Amino acid sequence: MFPSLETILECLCLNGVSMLLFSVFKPESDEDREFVRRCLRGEREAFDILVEKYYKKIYNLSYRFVGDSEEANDLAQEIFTAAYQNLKKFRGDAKFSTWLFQIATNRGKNRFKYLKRRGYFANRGATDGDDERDTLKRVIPDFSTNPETLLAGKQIQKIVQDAINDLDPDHKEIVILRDIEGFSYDEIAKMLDLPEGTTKSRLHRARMVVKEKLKKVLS
Amino acid sequence: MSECDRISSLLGDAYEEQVDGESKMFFDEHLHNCPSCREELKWYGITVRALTSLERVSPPPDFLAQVSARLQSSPASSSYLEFFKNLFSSTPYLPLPAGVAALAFVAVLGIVVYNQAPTEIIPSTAYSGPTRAAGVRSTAEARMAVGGTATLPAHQMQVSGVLTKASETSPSTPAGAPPLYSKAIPNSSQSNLGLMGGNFATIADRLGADNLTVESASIDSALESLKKILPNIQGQLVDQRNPGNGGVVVGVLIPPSAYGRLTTELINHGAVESGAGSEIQPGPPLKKEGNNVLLYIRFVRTP
Repeated sequence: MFPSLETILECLCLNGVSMLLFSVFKPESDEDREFVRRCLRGEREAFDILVEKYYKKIYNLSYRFVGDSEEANDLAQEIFTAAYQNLKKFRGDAKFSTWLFQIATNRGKNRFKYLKRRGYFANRGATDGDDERDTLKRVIPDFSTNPETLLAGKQIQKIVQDAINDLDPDHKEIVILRDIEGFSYDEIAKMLDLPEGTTKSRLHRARMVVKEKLKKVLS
Repeated sequence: MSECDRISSLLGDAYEEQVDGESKMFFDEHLHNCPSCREELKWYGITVRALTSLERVSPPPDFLAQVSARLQSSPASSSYLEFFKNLFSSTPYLPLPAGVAALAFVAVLGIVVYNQAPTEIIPSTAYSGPTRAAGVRSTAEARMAVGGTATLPAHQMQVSGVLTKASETSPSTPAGAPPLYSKAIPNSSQSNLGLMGGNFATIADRLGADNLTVESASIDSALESLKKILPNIQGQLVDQRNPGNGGVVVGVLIPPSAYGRLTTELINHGAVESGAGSEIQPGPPLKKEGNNVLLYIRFVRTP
């Protein structure tokens, strides 16, 4: 009438195996993935929710790549469009945000290279670089003795952005991802498909270059 | 590498407090005695803080609306090619084993269906040739509206072609005009004149390569006009017969590429689709000369 202990154990064992298999093959679920699923099923509004969630960060990253509001606006829109068009390629191996920022970094880097080739940053630096330095010295005359005060100033933003613009693209992307967007080394390594050691050493070199620029301008 | 260079390479780790053990002791000791490296460490810290404290730049207020508009005008998927390329890899959450299992299932299903399907083989039958659309006829005047340079006076004749193939079993086999014989055109594709490389008018395409019938009030002048066309298309008259019913059958040897031009010329001056007549008996295929094809045109008096 009642199943034997052996049968019960067998059932439990089978259940255990099933659960193990399920946990192995079950994809990591998060809120973003649900929106991606819905979008792939044809609900475009689901993608709008993702845009709303990330647009500030993406815009900021875009701005740091190109250093100009208008260009950043266009670049950020391009990034979301590219993500939307390639949504089917998102396989869920990594987080959606990682995938999105991978696209953003690639597009940002390409736009930066394009603008640099066209002398975009050189022209901008030549027109207002010296004026900026003079203004800075007038506003904060004691910055050499108290550099911490300087960091709060508006002008420093421009100086730092210019220093970033002078970096080569491989260094620039890491500075933006780590120091500006605050991603971990692990996430950056995944996004850029680089070993973590290479990521760290590139970041160090990039910071050293920026440091020299800041010293030159502020000392 | 000097001690200061070593310190410089450790600045990043030191800032993030990742230096420990022997390196830490070396770092601290060197810094204690080296004002220059202390200065470097200070500037390194300022740099990192300057970078991390850059203010967040806000997008314009209408940014979301702009993105939405841009997405609206862009397709979700790049192309059909992309769709087929990603057919088995686009589902983002399907693990590979499930994909393989699905593929195997489809393959097994295909084999089962194939094995259970009736294996009736329909024997291939001899090609009986396309049948003509008999009775379709229009006036020569109306066809003149199509235009074209008049080599054959339209008021003098009508051209009727029939799409046939030399086959004794075909009830619609045209008679009188022997079938076109050409190695350049395989029998199975004779009706597909597009393979010959010529530009065909719609009607010419339907007329076929076998033979043409020209209806004319004045057979002599129509024949003369045809003879004028031939030198222009590197064709030549090779045969002329009088079947006895008042009509004339001529054989012309023309390059395959000129067929379209010849028929188009004829059509421009009044080709109609009509039967060639069952009274005409098919003749034996005639030889061809080089790459030229032999075309028989029958001239009959307009009733």
